[in-house]
Amino acid sequence: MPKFTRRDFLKTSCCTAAGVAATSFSRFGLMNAYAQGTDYKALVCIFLFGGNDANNMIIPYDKAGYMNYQSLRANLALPQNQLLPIQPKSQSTPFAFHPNFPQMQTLFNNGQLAAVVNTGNIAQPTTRAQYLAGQVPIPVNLFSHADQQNQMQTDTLNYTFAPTVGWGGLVADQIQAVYGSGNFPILVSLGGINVFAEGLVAKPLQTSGDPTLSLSGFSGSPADNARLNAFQSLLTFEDGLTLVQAANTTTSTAIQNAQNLATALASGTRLKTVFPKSPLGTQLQEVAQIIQVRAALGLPRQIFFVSSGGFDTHGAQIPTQGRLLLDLNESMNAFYQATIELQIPQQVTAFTMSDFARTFQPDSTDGSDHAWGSHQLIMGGAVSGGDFYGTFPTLALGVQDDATNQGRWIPTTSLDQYGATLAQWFGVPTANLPSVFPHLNNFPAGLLGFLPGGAKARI
Amino acid sequence: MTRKCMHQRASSLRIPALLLMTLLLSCSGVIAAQVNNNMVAGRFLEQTSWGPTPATLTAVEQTSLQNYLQQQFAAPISTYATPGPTDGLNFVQNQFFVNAMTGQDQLRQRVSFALSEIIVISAIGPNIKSKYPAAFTLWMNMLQNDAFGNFFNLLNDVTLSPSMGSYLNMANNNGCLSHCRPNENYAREILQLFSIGLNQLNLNGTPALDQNGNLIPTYNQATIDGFGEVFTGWAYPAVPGKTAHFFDLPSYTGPMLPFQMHYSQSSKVLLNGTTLAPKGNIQTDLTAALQNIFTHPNVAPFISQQLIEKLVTSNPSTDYVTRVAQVFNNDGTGVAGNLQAVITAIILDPEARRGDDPTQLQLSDGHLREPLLQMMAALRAVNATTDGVNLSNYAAAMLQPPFLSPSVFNYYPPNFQVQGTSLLGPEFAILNANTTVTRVNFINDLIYGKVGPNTTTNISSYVSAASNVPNLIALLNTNLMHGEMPSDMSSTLSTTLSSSAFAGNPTATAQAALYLTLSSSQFQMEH
Repeated sequence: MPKFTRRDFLKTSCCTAAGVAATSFSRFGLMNAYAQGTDYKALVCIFLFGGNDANNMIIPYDKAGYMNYQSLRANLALPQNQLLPIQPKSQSTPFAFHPNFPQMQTLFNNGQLAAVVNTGNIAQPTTRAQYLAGQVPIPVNLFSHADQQNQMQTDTLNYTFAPTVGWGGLVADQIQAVYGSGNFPILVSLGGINVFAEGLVAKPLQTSGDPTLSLSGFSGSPADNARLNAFQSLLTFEDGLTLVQAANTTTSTAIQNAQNLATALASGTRLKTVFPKSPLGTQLQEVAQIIQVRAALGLPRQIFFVSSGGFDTHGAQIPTQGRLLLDLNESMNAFYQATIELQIPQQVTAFTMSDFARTFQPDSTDGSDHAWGSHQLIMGGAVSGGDFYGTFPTLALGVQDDATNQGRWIPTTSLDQYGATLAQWFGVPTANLPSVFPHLNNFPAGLLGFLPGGAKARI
Repeated sequence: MTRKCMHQRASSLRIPALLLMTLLLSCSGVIAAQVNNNMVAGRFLEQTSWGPTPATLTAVEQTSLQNYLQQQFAAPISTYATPGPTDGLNFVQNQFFVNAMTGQDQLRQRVSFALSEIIVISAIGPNIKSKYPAAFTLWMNMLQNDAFGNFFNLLNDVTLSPSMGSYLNMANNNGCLSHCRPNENYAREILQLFSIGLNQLNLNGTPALDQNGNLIPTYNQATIDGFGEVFTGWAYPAVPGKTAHFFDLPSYTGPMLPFQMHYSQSSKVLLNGTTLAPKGNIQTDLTAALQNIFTHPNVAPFISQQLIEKLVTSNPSTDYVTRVAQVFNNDGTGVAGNLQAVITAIILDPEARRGDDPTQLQLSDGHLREPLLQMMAALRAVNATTDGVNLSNYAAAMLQPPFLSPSVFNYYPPNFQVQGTSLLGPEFAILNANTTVTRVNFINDLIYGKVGPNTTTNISSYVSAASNVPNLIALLNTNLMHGEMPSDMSSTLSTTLSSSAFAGNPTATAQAALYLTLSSSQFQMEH
């Protein structure tokens, strides 16, 4: 009996014989430069669903800073002797990572990992006084999961209807305008359907499991062939309800993409890098395998979306987040090692996003609640690592950076700056960045400089 | 939106000549079509059950829809048995499939399932561990008991359920005096997801806007803080024979118990300018707070629209939502929140029924069957018997494993817009490159293989009809497509099944016919 567990498509597809000529997916003359391997870049978004408590991911390590942290975080405070110290280049005092971040600590120390601190969705520089007085635009339905997930993925503050375009998709639109589009989507989400990957033009492959899954039950017999022909015919009828047509499009596109991807993956080999068996580890492994066959897919730029869930730690936060951060640490590190194995560490940049951070003040059930500005990680060979970008929040309740009285940090670096820094490295022309990141010009500090090409540039 | 004439019947189908002529005429927009009982009963049962069967089709055809609803309101409840000490979550999941397959209370199950997708608990995450399957049997029995009751009672029972208490941390939420503050989780989600939503709504379900065209929030952080204080002081019921204490371990034997000592003494900001005085009584304050929510004008459109989406269509007109919301606010006897009246209003509304006459169907009508609905409709269509074992694995591969929603935001959001259209299609949020193929492959396994060790199918009626292809297609049309199979679909089936590849093999013919019909988007889209 078939059992629908998550099949390892990499294992099965790598060993079939059929190779594929790179030219079968190529477009115009772009493949010539690309085939030399000189012009490939990938962005990998790692979304931490539920709202990662970044306050326990990066912690002040100097005596005064830690004691303040310990006092306010109370039962959520991590013991100082378990923390993993780091010294960001631009900071005068030491900080530390969560105890389950040993490999992130190594990558940070080696310069392949950076953090953007207290970043989030704001339209312009925003003070507590302005926020409380309602003098500046703020994200609608602030502190709501669904809204802030969408806002982080779309870089919008406001919408009255379900969003259909995300900033990953808009970046892909810009890239396709330069590089053209191929026979395979430039965007691949292995974390299911998310608006991040939807462009106005670029349409993603979005999957929650094996993206090469094919129709089962067709043996090649005359009866099966007749049935397959009929199945395919039914998918083409366009005289029905709008939603029937939409489902037909989804199915027929999925079957075509699955065939193309399976063919391309057959030209690859199984990477030696060992990934965690977790959902996040598995997704990142799939990303690495797809990057390996980038030539067969004919794509000089790719954007990926993967995800991890369960960060909504209203209760039992210490053990729950501990498990999740350990998995994040191991999965991200494995992915970086895989880019070394693929000999393109400088061409692949992975970065995190999350709904929001969590209240600095704990709640009565050993957890924390929904907040706002958060810390994000950027990893890759091109990253100017070992440093923080942005301004670390003042960890104090009811004053300065706190939007409320429970430690909800008002972001001091905007999502626009974060995303635009990634996008410019990726190849979006500087002049076009504001069309993707609409508030970028409101921030005099401009790009953040954690990737080359965007060093402190003013727009 | 203008409507193309797309549902002309193929002449090979068993349709009286007079009716066929009427339909053809009506496609020119001149004459309304006659409607046969099969069309009405089939569509009605798609909306009110886990899928029509020949027996339920006959039952509906022999009575009025109103009477059938009344019978369904009175049908015996498919109660979930209490799990034993070694049972896991699959004990509950298997019961879900068995109940959906055989329960006589089909409408109650559909409604309670819809409610379970608006008011969500899940075994995903640390809060309700799957070693506590009783949390889910207690929960489902509560939802099923309340599905045709009053929404206020439902809100009260949900709030005091230890299952919800675990999931959103209201259990043991302590009104402590210093160095901590109440957990906000339940306070936030009861408002955002279970009752009123984030923004002020008009009665017709559209957002109300201020003079600048902006959304108007229904609450702010002070309201969340206030309800967070209200939802303090409750803890798990006592283990039988023992005295309950505030920090006892989880127990899923009945409603949570109040502990005044652990109830916040502060004043509490509620909705619409109401504030509860400090040092109130825990039970009195809770009832007042739930009444404060229940009387908010958003509740009727917010809940009505989502129930319409689950049962009838992803894109109800504002008039349809208004009509149902009016019944929610007043069932005709001055009572608000009467769910039996609301369900009746949803199902018997002209907009729900217009597709009974295929010429009146609108291009925006219908909704994608969510995975569990698609699975059950297919299983019931092939007269399956099942103990439920293994079916959750298929549902998981389609992103809808029972009782394992990824978060309190359900398997999919109610406002998902379908790419390439201007329509909402909530269920499309989990129709991705993998699941769309998985859904088709489930039909393959059901028809040609096995979907569970103890799940059987019986397609003998289709095999018997297969020697005459038009008869076979007519039977499919009657049983599976409520008599509205599009003509291009029926002609494709006819050509394929009449080909030499199937000659002399009625079993293969019937299997192919069922595969093609059940896997088609025309079937997967309920309309």
